[in-house]
Amino acid sequence: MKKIAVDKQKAKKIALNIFYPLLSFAILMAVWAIAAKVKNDAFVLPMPSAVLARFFKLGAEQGFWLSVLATLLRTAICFITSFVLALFLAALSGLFKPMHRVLSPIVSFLRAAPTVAVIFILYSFMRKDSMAIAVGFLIAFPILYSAFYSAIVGVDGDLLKMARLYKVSPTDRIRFIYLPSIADCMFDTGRSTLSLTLKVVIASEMLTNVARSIGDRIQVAYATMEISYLLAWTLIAIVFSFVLEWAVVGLKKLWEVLRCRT
Amino acid sequence: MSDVKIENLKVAYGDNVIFDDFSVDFAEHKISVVLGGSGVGKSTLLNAVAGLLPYGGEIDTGGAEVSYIFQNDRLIPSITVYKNLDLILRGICKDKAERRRRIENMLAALEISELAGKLPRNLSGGQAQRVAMARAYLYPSGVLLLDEPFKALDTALKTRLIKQLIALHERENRTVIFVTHAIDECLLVADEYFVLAENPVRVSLSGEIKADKAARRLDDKELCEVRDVLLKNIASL
Repeated sequence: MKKIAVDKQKAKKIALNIFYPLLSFAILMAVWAIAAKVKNDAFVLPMPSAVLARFFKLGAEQGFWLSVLATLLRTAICFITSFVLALFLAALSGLFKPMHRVLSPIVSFLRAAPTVAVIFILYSFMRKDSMAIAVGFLIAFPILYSAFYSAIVGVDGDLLKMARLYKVSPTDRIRFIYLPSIADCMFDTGRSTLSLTLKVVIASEMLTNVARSIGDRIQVAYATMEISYLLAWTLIAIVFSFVLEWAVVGLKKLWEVLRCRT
Repeated sequence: MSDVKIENLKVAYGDNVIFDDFSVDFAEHKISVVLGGSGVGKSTLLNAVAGLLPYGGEIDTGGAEVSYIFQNDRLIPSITVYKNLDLILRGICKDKAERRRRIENMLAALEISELAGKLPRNLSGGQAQRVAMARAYLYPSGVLLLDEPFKALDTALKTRLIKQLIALHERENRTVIFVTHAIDECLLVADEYFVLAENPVRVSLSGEIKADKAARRLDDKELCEVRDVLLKNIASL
């Protein structure tokens, strides 16, 4: 009886996880279709069906995967670099307060700087493809650093005192107190920052015409005024953004399973 | 094992001076109960003995290690009860089998063997406090500090845990400093007691209870007399 109840609950949860995203997608498509119908100008706003047809044909286009993979690689490089550096510096700042006092204004400055201005400033002295990586790093790093620092200083002080009293080794403190306490923040902030980084990298590629990139394809579509092509590439960016987010969610689940086992 | 000598203790939180020139001596192998109202500085005293806050003056534990049962259990939430206990033994005992033996014995002594695989979030308040007690007794310390460990528990559970504490004390014979504001807890566990008064913190009354701890009842003649003395002193503060 208990097993049946659990199975029913699971089935309900799965159904809801499918139902609501589908409903949300349907509403979005309906609004889009109504807007396109009202505008009645495929040149300005094509019907979703036309864009979706273009979207499904993109995979067969020459250089499609090269553009997508190059953009994803740039995103991965700047995200991983900013993630590791932010975690390292946040940990050091948690240990040495003066370090945080020095870093804090720099991080605030980076966070406040307008993305487009950063792109134009870097444009004059960097290679185009490295520039997309640098811009992504400059956007992702301050967000990740601030979140990691808050999580590290927010670790339960009572537990740390207990660990100090009972002489728990530094490795065990990191493994059993710090990491579980900041893991949620690492995965949740990482997830949202990763998709933001992808968007920023694409914007940077677009503004600086980086060859073999999603940004370049969007720029070409815009220059030739092919709106359905532009929207199809935008959909590609959205789909890969979701894929990256799901990958982080998957990693979080894997971490939770491994943590329970150890 | 060692007695705990505190001389000229000074503790301040900013401008707020809690202890100024405070001295007391807690006897070796005994349970010394420190009584006092809320905010008088009982927990601060224990934290100073544990070295968890900066202080002036001298606290001499004779080089003995200190273990501590805090007001809240302070168990690491992401790992099981067994792992919580194993963690504090790793630095002391490298032999995994020996650590397992010690942990299993301690859990059995406190009648909580079935909790070993559970996460702290799945424990009741009383169970979590017993695990904290197991942790404190597993750690090979000469001095054990208890900060109102039974504060949030019902009377029946409190009585059971006090009995377990007394049994463990008789087995291990550590120097225990137990702070509480509950006179009955003091009467049941104390070998000696100290009542703290504030402004500045000082010992306003101290004394001994000779009766066998394992056989004490709250209506014993000696305990009733001590209760009267304590109540009079506390009322006069």
